Amino acid sequence: MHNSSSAPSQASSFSRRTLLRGAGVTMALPWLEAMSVCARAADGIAADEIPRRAVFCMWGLGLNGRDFTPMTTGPDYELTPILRPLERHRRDFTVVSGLKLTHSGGHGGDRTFLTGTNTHDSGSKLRVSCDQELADAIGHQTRYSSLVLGIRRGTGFGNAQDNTLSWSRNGTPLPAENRPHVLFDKLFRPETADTIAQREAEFARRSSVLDSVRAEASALTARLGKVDREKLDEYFTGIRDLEKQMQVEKTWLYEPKPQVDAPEFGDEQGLDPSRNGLDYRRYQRLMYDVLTLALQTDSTRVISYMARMDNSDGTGAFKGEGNPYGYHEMTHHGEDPDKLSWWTKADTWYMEEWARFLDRLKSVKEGDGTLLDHTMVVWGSSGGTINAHNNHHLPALLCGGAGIGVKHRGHVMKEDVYLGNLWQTMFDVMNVLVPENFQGGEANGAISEIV
Amino acid sequence: MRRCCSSAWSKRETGPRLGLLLFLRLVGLIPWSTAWAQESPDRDIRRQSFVKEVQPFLNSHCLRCHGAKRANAGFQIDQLATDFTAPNAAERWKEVVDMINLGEMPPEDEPQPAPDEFEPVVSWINSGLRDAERAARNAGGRIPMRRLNRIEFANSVRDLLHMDPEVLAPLVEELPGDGKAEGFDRLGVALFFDQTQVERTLAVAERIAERAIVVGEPTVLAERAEAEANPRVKSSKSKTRTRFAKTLVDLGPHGWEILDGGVRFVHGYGNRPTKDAWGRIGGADFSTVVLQDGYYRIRVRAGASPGSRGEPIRVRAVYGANTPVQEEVEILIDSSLDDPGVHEAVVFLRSGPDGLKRDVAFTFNDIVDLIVNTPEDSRWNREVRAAQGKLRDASTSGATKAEVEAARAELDAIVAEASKWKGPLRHFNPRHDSENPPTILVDWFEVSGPVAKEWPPRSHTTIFFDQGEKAGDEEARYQRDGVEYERDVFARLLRRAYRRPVNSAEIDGVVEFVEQARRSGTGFHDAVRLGLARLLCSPGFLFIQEPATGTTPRQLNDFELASRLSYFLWSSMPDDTLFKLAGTGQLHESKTLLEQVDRMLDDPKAAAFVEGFAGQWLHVREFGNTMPATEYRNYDAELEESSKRETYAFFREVVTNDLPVTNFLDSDFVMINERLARHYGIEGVKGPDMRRVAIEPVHHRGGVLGMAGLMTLLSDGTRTLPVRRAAWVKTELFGDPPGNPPPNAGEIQPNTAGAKLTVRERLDRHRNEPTCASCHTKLDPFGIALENYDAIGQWRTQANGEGFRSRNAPPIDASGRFPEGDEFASLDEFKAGLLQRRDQFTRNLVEKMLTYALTRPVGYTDRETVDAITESVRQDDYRMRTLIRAVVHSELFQSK
Repeated sequence: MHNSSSAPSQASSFSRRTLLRGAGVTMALPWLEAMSVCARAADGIAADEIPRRAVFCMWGLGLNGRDFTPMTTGPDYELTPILRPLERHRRDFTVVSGLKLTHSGGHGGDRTFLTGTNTHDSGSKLRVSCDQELADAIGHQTRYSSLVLGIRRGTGFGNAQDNTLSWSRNGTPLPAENRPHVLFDKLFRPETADTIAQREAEFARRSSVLDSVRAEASALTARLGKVDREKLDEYFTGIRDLEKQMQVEKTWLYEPKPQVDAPEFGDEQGLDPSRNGLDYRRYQRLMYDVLTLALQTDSTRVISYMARMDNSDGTGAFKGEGNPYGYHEMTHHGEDPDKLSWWTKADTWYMEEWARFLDRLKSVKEGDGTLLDHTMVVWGSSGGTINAHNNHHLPALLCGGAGIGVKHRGHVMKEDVYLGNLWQTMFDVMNVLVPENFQGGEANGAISEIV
Repeated sequence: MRRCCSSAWSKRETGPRLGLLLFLRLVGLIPWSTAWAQESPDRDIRRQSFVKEVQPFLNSHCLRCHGAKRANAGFQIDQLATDFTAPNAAERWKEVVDMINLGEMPPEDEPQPAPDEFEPVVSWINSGLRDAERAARNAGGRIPMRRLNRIEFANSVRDLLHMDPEVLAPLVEELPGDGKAEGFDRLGVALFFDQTQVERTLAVAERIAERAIVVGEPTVLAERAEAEANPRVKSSKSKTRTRFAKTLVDLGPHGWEILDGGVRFVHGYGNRPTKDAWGRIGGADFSTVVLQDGYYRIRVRAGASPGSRGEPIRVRAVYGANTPVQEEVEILIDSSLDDPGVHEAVVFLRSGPDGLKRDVAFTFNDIVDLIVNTPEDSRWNREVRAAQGKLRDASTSGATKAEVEAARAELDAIVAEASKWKGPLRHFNPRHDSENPPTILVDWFEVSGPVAKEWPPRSHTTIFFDQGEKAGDEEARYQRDGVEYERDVFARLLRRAYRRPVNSAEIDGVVEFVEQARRSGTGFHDAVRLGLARLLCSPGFLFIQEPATGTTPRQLNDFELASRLSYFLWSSMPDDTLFKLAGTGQLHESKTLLEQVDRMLDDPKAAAFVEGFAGQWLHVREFGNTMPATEYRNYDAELEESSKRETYAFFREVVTNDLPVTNFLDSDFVMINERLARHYGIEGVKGPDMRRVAIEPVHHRGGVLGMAGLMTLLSDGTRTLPVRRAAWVKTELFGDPPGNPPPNAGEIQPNTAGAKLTVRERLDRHRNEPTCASCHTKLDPFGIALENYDAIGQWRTQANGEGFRSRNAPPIDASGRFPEGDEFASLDEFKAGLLQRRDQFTRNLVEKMLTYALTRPVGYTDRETVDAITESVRQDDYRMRTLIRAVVHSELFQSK
């Protein structure tokens, strides 16, 4: 048997269980040490330098609104069964009821959730999602301009449901990551001399290819009519954008990644929703933990997260804990009391984990407050509380952000108001100008009660 | 209040045509700006409809507030152009129709139009909107330059480099998904190029280049698992097992025995996932072997005896069970127990994501119930369990303490009695011949690879042509011939990659690029790889180029025609025959061209046409996206997979045998396998292969509407969706889509408040609102007619799903009425009605096929072509190949 020089290098010696020490790293963050990276700067941090962050989570197919929507409004509204797990955080979030999403309804709201107008119709003109608009505005400040996450990885484009909430400026879906351990590697795996050299070689190689094909394309331009030339312009723009992107990546390549202690990931098969045997609770907690770490280390300030999909939910709806129904099946309850009671139970369990996520964010000190105080985290859905297949009366929780201008009001009712207005409110809090044609017109003002 | 809308079903084909003179006179009479953009019969109908129905409506219900005098909300309706392609016209009309549909206009305090007045207005606006949208995308009828889509990219690389599609498939999956327009993924308007596309293409091209060109000899890894080392097999030494109250019970016969030469099995170990599963004889983790995608050799050293059953013994190896990379293969064991031999199969395995456990499970075709539990064991088991149940019920149902104690005592007594029994637990099933059962003796299992089918692989020899005896010789040749050899390599590649003759400047561009890499220290092979990657990212390869700067259409040259043809029917680059015909300038000659069409349709590569066209027209690619609820127990993965194959097989049958396209509406045959036959209640079909089976009316199948996959897709997993089915039939089969539902349209609500209504009843309620009725009475029957197919496409005569239990469930009523008034009582009559409308169906199919072939939307300017093709198909018994040939033969297909 011969050994060849082209055998691919497969194994990696990187172990997440050890404390990571990259060359020249200046700080080490033990797992969930109670301070953010920003709070550790030599002389503390000025209030106006505290980063502002936004996290958009979508939970497909609404929830059991009868056990969710509070009967009363105002700061001292009465908690409902599904909201009860959040009791300890009640001053740190606002329930916004009644929002609408014009192009949602049925099972297609995933695509319109952050874009306002994108739909699954083949004729739909696809546009940018607001998390990417935010990333365009502030993303240059962090290693990753944004993180795109979901319960399924990739884009899912072409399927009935998307795996991602995020769309580029050109209306291309951006692939989502769904494995906490892989995400952790991406964020914190230190670069070595070897990997840096590899990346540098790749940059050089790719730059030379791009130069060469651009020259060929230029020669072609003169022989084309107007419409064809526009098509070729897309190609030129794509090349130019990629070159810019490579420049940015190159700069960050020499900035050491933050050093953190890894959470205990355990068996990795149970952490991959694309495979059998998903261990959902453990999975969800680890996702939240890695999200917290990403924000805490200021690796990114913008996150989109398709936490549950819009038809086949992807999470298993607590099948492992005895629930005999899929999430979608429960939304078609037909007044079956068993389905309704499981529905509330499952929703409450999802909410318990969400409360734990808020605990995590709160446990990290930052300036005078906590990480949660400087992060807006949205729990949202494209399906309604009256009927999960509706495009109105969407459930939404705006959590956190009290330190950057969010004023929590308990429960506010905003009937017939665009969900886009919630995004617009968040742009205001982020101090980012609302872009032109925001949400394709599906937004017309901020929600003044909560800022 | 809310109104949905659909367009008129029949107006297109009928109706008097007004002359130009009359038209001009009419223009003078009305205030609306009526500059009709293009001349066409539809325009006449639209004009007439506007004057007769729309204008009076607007005059009496809108003009008072939205006329020149008041122009409420800044909206002056008589300034709206009736030509929807005029600037802003479509947007303004969209507002009008939305306001009407939402019930906002006319306002409640104004006189309300009669319900039947709405429909023509809404229809008129909707069809105008649709046409405007098409016209906008139509780009004046010219076919815009476009990039290859993902499938075309993969197929072109496969044919250019002669690369194994199995190797390519996972690489190409890294490319972003393609956008669709008009229902197809090959239209230029939807195939974008952006940063992600460039980056992914570059990354994939580099990986392709790495696999296509090899250096040195292949690395082969191997791992062997001895049969007796299996812990499950080793543990079989025990002769007893603990049973009730810790008594030891004689276990009875084992299914296997460890011998010197291996393990002899008459029966597999462990639980079986399904009733008819084969017996497990081994399994091992081969994660250290399958490190990359490739062909692997699975070997078993074994001997076997078929026993008195007589069926040859086979071993089945399942790789990566229940993972996305699952593969399985069967190996015949034809050596005897006395003289075991090595038996093997070569199979393509994918390594899958990092961390995936790549195990292989081995089973053989034993007699499933050769060894079973003894009747005594079953009896004691049953009795003890019953007593346990009684005790559990008593202690949870609030029974008195005495009652609980009594139940406990009863259990103890039964366990005591059961403990006296000493076995055996299992025995040979007396129904089978235990003296001479099917038997296998296994020594070891082994996986090794990757196996090179040929070395160097064909991609390597294609690139380096005549490179010598073995991989690596080309470098010696480069040392000798220098840059001239590189020139030869890339000149040959470029001609085929760009699908046209190339000039020396183009060749120089690539060679200079490769030489530059050489000068900066890159080795020969890596430099050529880089050149290949560059070629795969170049506009010459990625774009289908038909340069033209003129304003009038021009005839394609023969090379361009060859590409258009091959991407239409093969989704790939032209082959040598097409290139040769293009080179000699013969391809465009009618006779040659049509011969080529037939040759290409008979080639296996035409599978790409079946999957590309039928996969999207009939939505096969989406089959499986709807996940049926657990109450549909007959649904499984095999059914889902078979239902996709059914639709492809059916389409292929029509193409291959040049059958009438009316078969899609109804047919006297189906293409099914055993699994589907069971689903459809058709007897006498065995095995997994699709084959043509004649059917009778009693089977209630035939045509695409009888296909389980489609009916499942047009359901939501818990119930049928008649409106979606109706919209599908009208849109995909007859090219007459209903208007968009108003922005706030809801779905049919699930059954609530205890009422058990059928879907039809709930839909009726919706329709009972007079303003909904105007559209839904025309639309809904097309879906109601299919109500006999449930949410997974099973035939039913009573409601099911959503908690309906069969005994008292209401019967299905599939009767209805076509918009033209003819009624149908059943699905059969409905399908007969569809067949009467076959000309409209054919016309729609022509439009779809033309869209797919031209890679641009088909609009008014194409009307003559569509008419002519439809007519020629009609006159030739609606034959499929006549349609395809006519499309290729059309001037549109042959010009830029």
